[in-house]
Amino acid sequence: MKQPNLKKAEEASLLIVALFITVVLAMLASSALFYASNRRMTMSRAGNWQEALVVAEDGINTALGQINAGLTGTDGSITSATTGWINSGTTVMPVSHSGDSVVSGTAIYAITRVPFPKLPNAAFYKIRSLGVVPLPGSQALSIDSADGVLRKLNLSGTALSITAGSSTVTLRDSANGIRTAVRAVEAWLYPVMTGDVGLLTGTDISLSGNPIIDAYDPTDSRRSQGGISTGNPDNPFEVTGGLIGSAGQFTALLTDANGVPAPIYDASIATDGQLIDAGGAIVYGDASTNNGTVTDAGSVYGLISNDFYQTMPPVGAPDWYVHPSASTPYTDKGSINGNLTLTGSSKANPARYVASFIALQGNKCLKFDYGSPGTSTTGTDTSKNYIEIYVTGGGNGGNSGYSISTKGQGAQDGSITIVDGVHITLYVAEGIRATGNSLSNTSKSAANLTIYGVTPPAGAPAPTYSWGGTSDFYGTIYAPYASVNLSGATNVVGSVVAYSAILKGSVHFIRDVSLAKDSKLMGFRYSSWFEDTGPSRLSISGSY
Amino acid sequence: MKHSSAPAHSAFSLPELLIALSISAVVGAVCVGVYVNLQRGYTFVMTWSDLDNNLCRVEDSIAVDLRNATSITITDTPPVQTLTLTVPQCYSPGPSGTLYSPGDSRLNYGDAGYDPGKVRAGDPAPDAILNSGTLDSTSAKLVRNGTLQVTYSGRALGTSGQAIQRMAIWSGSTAALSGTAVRDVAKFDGGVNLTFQLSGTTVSGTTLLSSDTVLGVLLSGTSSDKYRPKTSTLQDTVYLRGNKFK
Repeated sequence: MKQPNLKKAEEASLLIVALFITVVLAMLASSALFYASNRRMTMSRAGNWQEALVVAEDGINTALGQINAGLTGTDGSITSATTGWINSGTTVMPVSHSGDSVVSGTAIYAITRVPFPKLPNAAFYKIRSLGVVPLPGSQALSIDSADGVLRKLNLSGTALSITAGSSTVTLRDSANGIRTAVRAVEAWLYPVMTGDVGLLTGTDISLSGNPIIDAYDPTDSRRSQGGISTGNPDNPFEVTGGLIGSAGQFTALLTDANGVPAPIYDASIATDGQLIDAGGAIVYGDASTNNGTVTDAGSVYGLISNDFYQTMPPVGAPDWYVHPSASTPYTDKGSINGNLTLTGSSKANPARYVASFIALQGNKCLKFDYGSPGTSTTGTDTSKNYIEIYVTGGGNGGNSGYSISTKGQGAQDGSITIVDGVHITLYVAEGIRATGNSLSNTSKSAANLTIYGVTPPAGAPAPTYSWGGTSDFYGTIYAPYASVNLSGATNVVGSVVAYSAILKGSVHFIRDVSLAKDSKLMGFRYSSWFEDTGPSRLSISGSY
Repeated sequence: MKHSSAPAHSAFSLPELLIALSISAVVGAVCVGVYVNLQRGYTFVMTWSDLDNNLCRVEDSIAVDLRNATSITITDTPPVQTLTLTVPQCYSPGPSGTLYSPGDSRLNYGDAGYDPGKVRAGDPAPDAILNSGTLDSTSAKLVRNGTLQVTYSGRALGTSGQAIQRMAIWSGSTAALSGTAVRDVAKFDGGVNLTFQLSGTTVSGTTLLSSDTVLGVLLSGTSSDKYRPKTSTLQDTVYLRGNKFK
């Protein structure tokens, strides 16, 4: 009789027990690993989701840089951005970051140009940018559905991709295991015009004595006085008015006769530099620096901020001078130091002149007038009222360094006089020195006189523009390389963009708010920023 | 017939059994102790991980809304401050009835630009249409449907717990552009602190200026683990976009 093998029976029991324990331990371990892995994946994906926003903003900033770099179109269009820029359709740009886990992403951005009739020299832009970052792990989402609501990751679904030019970016593809975090940002850009601020400089602004910085709008009866209605049925307040007088925006009437509130205009001063010495001056607006300070700012009525920066595109010699052609001829007047009248032409084809310098004193006068022939009554043609002149500088004797020097002793004496209604665009290679009301814009409209300071050659001294004595200046100055000195009882109406500015004494600086629409485009700034978290976040389009 | 004497060897003597049981007891006790500690450690790590994930969710949710907000107001005092935001209403109702077939009991999102349900409460509806805005011909300001008021505040859970909830109230010119929704962003069974800082200083009763560039969001949550309650803190600095670019 064969006896049962008890030893073998014991071994089988041990094996079962061992297997059972092993299974239990394996389940515990896999459970622990599953939950730990799940949480690690959640944190990792949260990081990628954050990275996607950075990538999307990279796209926005790159597009802004390209738009600013290519501003050469007279209507604010982009014509010469950096090589590789696609100014129509959609651009795909690889972006690398050295984050915790993400090393690369892709920005896809598209721009849309939005013309604005009130700004014929500019346009608005909308930039839409998608930041696409690949995700690790499987299709499984976190155990918490809140992640699905918040981050809306592309873990599964039918294949979806965006094609731009020769590039294709896949947003999701379950069959091939492609999963991404996508975040979409839209930003609007508004054009920054030279007339948008009262006083803007590249470096310090110094105010001392009793200057007043103010603003008015000659096209609004509520912000000017003595105006004549233009008869615009859409705007009963539209007039051609004059200065409010000594009253500032904050003390003038804030409503019209019908109780309609008048807008408050900002006579802001700003610098790309670090210092505005307000010197106790009254400023009816903001004072902004570039990470700097505003000292002695007790009478600054607006906001004081230190996060300002505005690019100031340089100005070259006028194109009609650099590249003369039969269609844009100019007349060289040599040096102007005696009595002379320069006449205008149409807005579409203005009269163009070149002079080496303008030096007037005594009874000498330069007059800008309408073109002729005109009516038998006036002898002039009021439609011929546009003049462009380039003063190249050099050879101005005792006034070396100044393209224009005038010593006025009366409205018609030692002065430059602009006949009412004539529009002057003046390009200046060197400095300007004017005393005794010697630059007379008889229309008292700042829109009728625009001065551009041409960028000096490398190594040349910075030009100086100075007004002193008892002088009135109605016009705009855009001279990013010039130092502007205003002193005495000088009234400046318009806007000034310069390298630096010193205002001393009882200078009254009044920004003309209406200038913005016709002034020079300096660049673009953000006016709106929005992250699209809706179903449209996976699509992009633009129209340029 | 010859019998095998082998079975006699398989038995254990009493001392052997006692020794084996003693060793087993010691080994077992060690194993149980280790297991319990491992389990506690595991639970602790999981709790800590959940806590951090929840903090991260709240921070991320607040950051998205903060960046889009054009007006930011902070009220109440710590430990849980209330954040009230005005966000442009950038979504329009989708085409009504296109998402689900007739007779489907699920919500027809075509009625609103934002989801009034529970899970995605206050988020753009699945078929919402993006409204990028149009330029006003006079003021050059962007015009959208209206505004969305988003509020983050605390909600008590039991005796010590607290949730951070997000309430969205959207209002526009039509009923379809108006609605309300509330959802819990995350729950903290041991309580939560939520404070907001400008330049490192906690602010209250404040509406931020356009010149305020960044806002610090300081969040700390506590788990209710009775052995080792864990408090974790997360601080985020949010660059304010909509509040500045307007």
